[in-house]
Amino acid sequence: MVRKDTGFQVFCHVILAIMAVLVLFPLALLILSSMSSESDIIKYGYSLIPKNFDFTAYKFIFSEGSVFHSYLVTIFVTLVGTVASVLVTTMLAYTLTINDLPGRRILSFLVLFTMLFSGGLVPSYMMWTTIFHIKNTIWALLIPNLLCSAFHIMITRSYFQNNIPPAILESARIDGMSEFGIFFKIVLPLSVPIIATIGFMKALMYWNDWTNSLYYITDKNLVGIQALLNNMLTNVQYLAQSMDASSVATDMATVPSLSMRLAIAVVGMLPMIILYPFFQKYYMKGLTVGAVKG
Amino acid sequence: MAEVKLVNIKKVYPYVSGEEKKKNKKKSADEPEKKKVNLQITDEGVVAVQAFNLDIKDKEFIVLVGPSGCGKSTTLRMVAGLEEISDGELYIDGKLMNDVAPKDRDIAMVFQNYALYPHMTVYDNMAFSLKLRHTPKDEIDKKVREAAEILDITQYLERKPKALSGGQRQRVAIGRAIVRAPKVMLMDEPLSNLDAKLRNEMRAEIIKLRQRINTTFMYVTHDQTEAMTLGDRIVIMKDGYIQQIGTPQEVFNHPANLFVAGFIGMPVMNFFDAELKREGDKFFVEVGGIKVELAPEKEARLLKNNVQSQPVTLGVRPEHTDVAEQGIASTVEVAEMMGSSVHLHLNADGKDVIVIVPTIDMKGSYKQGDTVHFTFDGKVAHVFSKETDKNLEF
Repeated sequence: MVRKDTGFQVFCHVILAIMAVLVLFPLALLILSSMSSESDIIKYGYSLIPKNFDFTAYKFIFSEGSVFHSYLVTIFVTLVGTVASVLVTTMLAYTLTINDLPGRRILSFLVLFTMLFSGGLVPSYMMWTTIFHIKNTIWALLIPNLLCSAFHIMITRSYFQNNIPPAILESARIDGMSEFGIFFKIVLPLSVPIIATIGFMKALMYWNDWTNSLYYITDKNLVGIQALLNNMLTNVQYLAQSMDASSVATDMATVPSLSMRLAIAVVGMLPMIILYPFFQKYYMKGLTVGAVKG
Repeated sequence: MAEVKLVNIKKVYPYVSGEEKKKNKKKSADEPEKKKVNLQITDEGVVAVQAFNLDIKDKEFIVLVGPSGCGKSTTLRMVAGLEEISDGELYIDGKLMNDVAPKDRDIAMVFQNYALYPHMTVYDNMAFSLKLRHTPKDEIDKKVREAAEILDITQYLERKPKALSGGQRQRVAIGRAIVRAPKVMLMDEPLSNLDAKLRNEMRAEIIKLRQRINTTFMYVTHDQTEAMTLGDRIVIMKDGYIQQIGTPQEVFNHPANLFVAGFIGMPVMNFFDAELKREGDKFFVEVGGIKVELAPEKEARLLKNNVQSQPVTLGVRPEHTDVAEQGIASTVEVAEMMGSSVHLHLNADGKDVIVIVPTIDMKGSYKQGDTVHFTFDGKVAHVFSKETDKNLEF
């Protein structure tokens, strides 16, 4: 019979609780401080318990008329980009699992190569703008990220190899299914954990992407939320100039720059924080797949 | 229902880039090449199956049997279309099938690890291939329920595979294969994942199933009991080559070579170094100080082959070896009581010998160190060439 070491368990739980608090503390500080008034932050510094709750920073951010539009742009790009990127990634990963595929080793090498080396910013920019003409189009926010992670391809391939018995695929071939049919009706339904994992990673990537907006977008209607917030953060002047004069009567002196920086961070990450618990179960499962024999 | 014909089938797994370089490098360095057990390594690649010729009659149950790595599963997979045929021709119902896709061969296959679709119910698993062939729904339902009835899995139709035991899963896998009424049913070690009791039960089920569905079967196993009980004919393979094709009785009574003699039968055949003596038209074997005349039908075959006196490997099965007052002297090492018989493990001049003694014939008990004499009849002695390992009667 295994003796339960209660003391050790209590010790472990205490350590884990402390670590959880350490992780949550900055997040809580960020959210609560963003709700403090500018003068309180100047006077007392950042605090977990605001002296006076003040949502001026949020009012400033949302008074910028294009915030909601940018949110919509980013939501659209995140949804479409994630679905497309997951599809392309899983298809390429599945292709790489087919042992007798002609040129498989070269294809694997090319994928791996991009893990180590990239084309560089200037050649990429020139390629996308002069050959593909994606500048100032929604494609600029979608396409450059579509296949950018060889790591995702590798973990997906590894999942397929370790979790889908080849006999199931052979059985489907004998049953009369096409390769596309096998992929969509057998491989994908059996790969929910990895799809959720890379889906979440890619959703995060699309959601947090502000560089493509910076490089390729000058049209205000196509600026994503992160790029917009970045603009606000780095240039409060930009906010003051672009605000609608009729909505919030203000001048530069009243812009709560400290709390606004915090509020910008909250606005930028809140949707992902809300979504994460729904993916967490699969996310953990996906990251640990192949670690032990199932 | 169909005839299957395999003509001079060969399977070579070519080297992937890099392997060949390593091999050549080793050659040039004049190092001895590593020999892998059961694999023949050539310049083309690794040869898994070669010179495989077999005619399978309509509705015949053929069992491919042999040790691991002998090429039996590769052969079955070539028939299924899951492996490319490197050389030779495969005909199903008279049509050349080498380049035909697995789905168009009208075959069904049962895999060792069931290969059920885990996200589908038992019903959907069984109906899957019919749906792909656009069979009308009511017909699919009828066929699935008929197959489920035969295999006694009707009550599990709405369950997912994970909610079934190993035996039930294998029944579903068989059910999935039979709903299609394929021309050829291929089974790749379908009982290997089951425990001994369930394996015996399922073996009996397969025999019953075979009588009901009446199609051509190709069955792969490494278990000689399965091979002997299921097959109309058995194909014994080793190192990619066919060693013998015959009915269970033929391969048991007339093994073509030492390998077959040792592989078929449990406990394994006893082998002795002996002398074959030809005296006119008569043949004798001399071993351990005794001289036994071979049976007339054996002598006739040896005469036909013009066999002369020579040193041979003599093979006698444990069940054909008798304890006697006079014979080859040996000492008892172990006596295993099996119920209806005792398996005596003897040491005869350094050779391990097993003799099966029916308990009904026993006059006393055997203890370690007892001296025992044993002999055999000329009808059941097999003589194998020392040079070629072939049975001299063939």
